Amino acid sequence: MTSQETVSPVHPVFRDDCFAGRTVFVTGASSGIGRSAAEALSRHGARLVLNGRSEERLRETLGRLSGEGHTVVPGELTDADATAELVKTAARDHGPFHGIFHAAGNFAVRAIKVTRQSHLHQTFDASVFGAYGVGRAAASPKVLADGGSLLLMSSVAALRGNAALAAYSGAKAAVLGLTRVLALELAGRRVRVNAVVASTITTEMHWKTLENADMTHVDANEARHPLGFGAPAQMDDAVMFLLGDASSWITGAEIPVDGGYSAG
Amino acid sequence: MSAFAEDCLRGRHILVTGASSGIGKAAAEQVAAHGARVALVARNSERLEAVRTSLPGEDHTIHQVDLEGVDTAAVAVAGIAKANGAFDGIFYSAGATLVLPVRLLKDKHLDETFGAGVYGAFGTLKAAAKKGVMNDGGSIAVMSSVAALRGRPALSAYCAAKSAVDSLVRCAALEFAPRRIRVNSIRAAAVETPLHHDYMASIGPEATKDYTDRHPLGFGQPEDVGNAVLYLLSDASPWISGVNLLVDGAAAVK
Repeated sequence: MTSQETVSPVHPVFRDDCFAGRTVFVTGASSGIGRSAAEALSRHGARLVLNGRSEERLRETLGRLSGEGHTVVPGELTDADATAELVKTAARDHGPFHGIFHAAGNFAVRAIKVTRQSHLHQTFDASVFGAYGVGRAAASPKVLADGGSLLLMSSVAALRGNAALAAYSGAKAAVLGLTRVLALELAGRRVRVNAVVASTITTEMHWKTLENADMTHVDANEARHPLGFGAPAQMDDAVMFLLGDASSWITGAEIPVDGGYSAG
Repeated sequence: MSAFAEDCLRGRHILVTGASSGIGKAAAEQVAAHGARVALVARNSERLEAVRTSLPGEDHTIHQVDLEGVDTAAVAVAGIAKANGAFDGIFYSAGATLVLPVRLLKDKHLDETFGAGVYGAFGTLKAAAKKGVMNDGGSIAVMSSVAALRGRPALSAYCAAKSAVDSLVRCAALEFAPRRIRVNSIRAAAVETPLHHDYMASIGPEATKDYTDRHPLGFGQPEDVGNAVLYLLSDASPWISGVNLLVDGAAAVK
């Protein structure tokens, strides 16, 4: 630390009732960024509808939420049609939603010479086809209310190349293209659509991928982040900002939340 | 009602340039309403004083400063910090628009557009890099525009100035990261300020329609930009730096 003072102590940034009366649908809510964001939203008054593959793990998330009235809608997001149906049914039973955070998605490291169609499916199913399905459902005011906000997950892999990330980079770049078009198509209802461009966040998924990783590669990756790796809490505030009223003129945007990674 | 907690900037000292009107004035009001002590900078001290007296909270200061050059801006900003305390946040929103085709551009036009728009931003960041001007962990937001991303006839000087600012922000973000000082820009589209209304009054119906059609969510309000300023200057964005944040109602998408 230098001789200079640091900024004064942390105050909560968002009003603790800024999501009161709002219902938010979160996919990928059984772990990681989706779970963490659901918890943060519930602390600010939101009612959560949680989707994920594992009902057991979704119920774990449910047990960690603040407030009342939350619910789980287990189900795998494998293609656009099934996802659209799942989201519409969830909205019919528990909606309409004021916000949707599509956090579901798989990360995979695989060289192109061994990347098969089945691997592309694993990477594209929830991230891309799921996003198309969520978007299709969100086009209906019965699913995402007028003035609502849809947030998709992209990655710095959409902006920069990295060896062995062909499938993942392609999937996350597809999300950015989808985001721009959805923003235009839904602007008439003042529904906003944005994508978070995330870099390495120290979630369980991150620790799991580290189990077999070359640590020199991991260290080199961390060194490419001027502000280091991120923590899920740092994503939570981006999610709250982009789903909430403070960003009501932000749509069609790709927003890096990446510790400075894509600046250099 | 604001989505931000009313004391989220309590105890923070924030410099706002271009604070006497439009977006800078609105941002100054918003950061003050959320607890910050504000150092207001602009060229006209009378209008600055009017803004100061209208702000909620105490101890705000005004500074009549010309930000047209790198060195003069750096000296002025460092001087304000020395006299009033180091900053936790800076919102740099000084700058002018210029509508003029390339074939008519002269040195003086570029000097005007790049003066406060670019050189003043360089000077402010130069000051921020110095000891005692910016606290570690602070945050800087610089006003940019979708003009940095999309060309328009007769806007080359403005577009280039905004591109320059966006590049500056990326580089400064890397340089300042060891002190966890974050540097970002806000790329806004048309915001309904007094300047915007003057512009709208000066163009014909066809141009008005074209301009309006370019904004799928309509024109923005100064508060829309102010909310982005709150987001970037508060503790909500500690892992966001070197970003050119679009706040434009999808104008850049079109």
